Parts: sequence; C-alpha cells; structure tokens
Amino acid sequence: MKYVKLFYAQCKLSVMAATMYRANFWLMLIQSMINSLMTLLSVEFIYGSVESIAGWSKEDMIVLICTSLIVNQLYRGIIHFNQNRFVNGVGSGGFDKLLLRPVNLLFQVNTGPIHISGLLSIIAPVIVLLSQLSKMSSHISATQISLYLLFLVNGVVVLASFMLLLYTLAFIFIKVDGINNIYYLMMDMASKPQEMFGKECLYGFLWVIPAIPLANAPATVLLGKRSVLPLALYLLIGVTFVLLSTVSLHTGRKRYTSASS
Amino acid sequence: MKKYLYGFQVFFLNSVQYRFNTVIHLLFGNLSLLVTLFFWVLIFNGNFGTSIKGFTLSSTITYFIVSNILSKFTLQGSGFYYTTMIKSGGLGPVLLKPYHLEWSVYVQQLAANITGILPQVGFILVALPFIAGFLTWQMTAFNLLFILLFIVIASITSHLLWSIFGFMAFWMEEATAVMWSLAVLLNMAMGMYIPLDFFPKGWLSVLEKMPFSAWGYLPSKIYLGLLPIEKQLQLLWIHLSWIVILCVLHRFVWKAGLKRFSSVGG
Repeated sequence: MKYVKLFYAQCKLSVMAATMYRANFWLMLIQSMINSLMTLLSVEFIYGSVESIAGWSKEDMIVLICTSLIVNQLYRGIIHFNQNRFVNGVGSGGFDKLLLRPVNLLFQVNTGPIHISGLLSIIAPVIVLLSQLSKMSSHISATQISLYLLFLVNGVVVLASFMLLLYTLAFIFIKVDGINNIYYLMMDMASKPQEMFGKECLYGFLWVIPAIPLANAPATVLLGKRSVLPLALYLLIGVTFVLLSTVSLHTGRKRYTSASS
Repeated sequence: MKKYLYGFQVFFLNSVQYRFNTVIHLLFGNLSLLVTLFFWVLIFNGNFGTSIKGFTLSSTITYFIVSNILSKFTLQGSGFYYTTMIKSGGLGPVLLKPYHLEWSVYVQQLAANITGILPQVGFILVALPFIAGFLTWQMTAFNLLFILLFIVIASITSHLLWSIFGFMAFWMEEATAVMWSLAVLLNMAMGMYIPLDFFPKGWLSVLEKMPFSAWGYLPSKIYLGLLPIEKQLQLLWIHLSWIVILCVLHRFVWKAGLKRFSSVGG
C-alpha cells in the first residue's frame, strides 16, 4: 500500500508540473497524435498495394502496431525516464541518494517522475485500437480481452526488466546510453509480425532479445490467431527477466563506489 | 577555415571517447535497418520477381540501405541546438565569439552526422558479402555526380530548415514538442518509412518538389536509375531554388528572433 501511495503521489506531482505550461501540454498531446498517425498512415499506404503480410490483414496489423505503441508508451511514460536517471546517477554519484532512502531500490530505479508526453502518446493508439475492436467485437470474447490485458502488462514488465538488466552494466562501464539503441530496436521488432523472425531465430527473440512477448503475444491472443508458442511461455519470460534484473541490480550495487564527494 | 576544421575534429573525437558505448552504438544503432529490410522481404513474400509501385524487392532493399546512409546528411540537430541555446540563454555568450555562428553550427552538426555514417557504412560493408546478390548495382558517373549534388543540397537545406524550426524557441516557452512532431512528419515526407511512390496518387508530384525529398528519397531513386535525366535536372533547379528561399527566410526569422531574445546571467 505504501508503494501505491508513493506512486500516486509521483503521478500527481508530474501531472501538476506538466499542466503548469498549458500550451506545451497541448502541443505534447498533438505530438502524440502525429506520432501514432504517421505509423498508421504507413500501414495504410503499404496495404494499398498488398492484401496481407505473412497472413496479417490490415486490421490485424493495426491491432499489432497499436499494441506495440501502447506497450512502448507505457514504458516510456512511467519507467524509461527513471531508468535513465538511475544510469546517469551511477556515473555522477546521484545513485547515493537512492541508497539512502527507506524505499525498495527496484521500485526507486523504475519509478519516479512520470514522463507525461510519453504517457499521453497512449491516447491515440488506444482510440484507434478501440475503434478497431468495435468493428471486430462480435468475434472477441471477454476472456480474450482479459488475456490481452494480462499479456500487455507482461509485455511492459518484460521490456522494463530486460532494459534494467542491460542498464545495470552502468556499474561496470559508466556510460551506457548506447543501450537505448537496443530499446529502439526491440520496439521496432515488436511492431512487426513474429513470422518475420523465422522459426530458426524465434527463441533468440524470446530469450536473448525478448521482442516477441512485447506486442505479438497480446495481439495474437486478442485476434484469436494460433500462437506458435505456448502462452505460458511469455509469462515465464516475464518472471525470468524480473528475477535476472533484480539479481543484477543488487550485484551491481555491491560493486558501486560513489562518484560524488 | 582552420577553426571550423578543429571544431569538427574535437566533436568527432568526443563521440568515440567511451569504448563500450561506441561498440554498442556500432552494433545496435544499425540493426533497425535490418528489421526494415526483413519486413519488406515479408511484404514481397520473399519474391524477387514481383514489382510493387515500380519497386522490386531488390530495388526496395537497395532503396532503404542507400536512403538510410544518405539521410545522415540531414542536419536535424541544428534545430535542436538552437532551441537549447535559446532556452538556456547560452546563445548570448556564443554570439560574442569571433566566428560566424551559422557556419559553426553547420560544421558541428555535419561532424556529428558523419560520425553516425561511419559505423553504418562499416556495418553495411560487413554485411555486404551476404547481401550483395540482393542489391541493385546501378551507378553511372552522371548519376554519381547528381547524387553528390543532392547530398550537398540536402545538408544545406536541412540545416537551414531545421534552424528556422529551432528559432521557434524565440517565441515559444517550450519548442521541443513541436520539433519532435515536425521530425516525425518530415521523416515520413522524406521517404524514410516507405518510398514516396507508395503514397496515394498526386502526393508524389508535390512531395518530390519539397526540400525534404532531397534528404534521402531523390538520391536513392537516382542511384536506382528510376529517375530520368530531364527529371533530375528539373528537380535540381527546384532544390537549388529552395536553398535561396530558405537562406532569405532563415535571415529574416533570425533577425526577428534576435530582437526578442534576452538572457540573464554572466
């Protein structure tokens, strides 16, 4: 309960800070719309020339892309900014502050100020997804929607814990902002059908660079597509990466020597 | 000229200071290109004989590789540099320094972008033995000349246009959100996500005359031999005219903005 209250307070403060500059707030909202619209426009143009891509129709692809955008923006809005703050803190000595606070370290590394522009970017894909679902509503059951939401959260957890696992390399190499490229790459992969990876590389994109559980897993469930992998495997990946990142963070903390005076 | 070259050297060396970070940038900064290529293989269903909107799979793969490299001459950073300097007040001291600010920003951004090209070219050279057979090799001396001309034009027009966007910070409290929206729009309009030929009819004839079509799309089409010489010449004049137009606009907005600029501190 303490952590829920803490998270709520952080959200409240971030929203207050963001709405202080109202013009900028509206511009951020417009930006989020433009980002999503451009991605969807590309799909529209491509499907103007082909009927389906690896068995994914235009409607399926829109669901996949919207799901990938939602996972991405949830991570970007709530977690990514704070993980980057942690990486910079390791280099500058700011990490000391996190160690002194009577709050769980993993919680502090992953949460903090909310990146409102990232979070606002969810609005456009959610609207598009809902309108898409309303067209398909007769084919979708409540179980599918519940499973979709579960795998959506699992996608964010996988992404956050995998990135944290990589960011803990800051304890050794200090400057690791190049790792952000892996994040961009993963999100790029997540918005493409899993058929693209081929059967040979499938497990690599589950366990080495876990791009498939991010959006393909929830979208497949929602669309009722036959999954090439057992669904429980996606959840197992989530749990594994949470454990790995936690161990890595605590191992790194033992190595850490403060950089500040 | 010496001072600008020195600035270029310093910026270049700074970019490769942290080895682990440089290696990660090298490895993963370019892999998204592979993702795009695999996606297009999926769109074409792996069929090299199919043609969509005048593009075969081979020419599409080549288009994305070439446009990806050439788009690095798009100096988007100029706009963000000005926005940051204006907002932080850092513009004041820079204005007092004994060099031409515009040239300095241009050279600095060019250095940063060339640093970005080198690993990308290296990555493609490593992959070349495996992908050479899938690419289109269509280079003539005349095309090469035009590609070089369009690269120079692209670096100048992108620098000017992005600088103008950056000057918005003279009037706005916070211009970054608008800048990112423009970046997404322009990336789409310069054919980074999909070739402009895939856009609905009528859009192409307008977009190819805009300054951003030279930032990747046109040189790639020239390389693929998909643009007749008459059309290349016509577009060259249009894009040269854009330099003049943007120069005038740039000067006008800069002067108007400077009148509004105020910074606090010493």
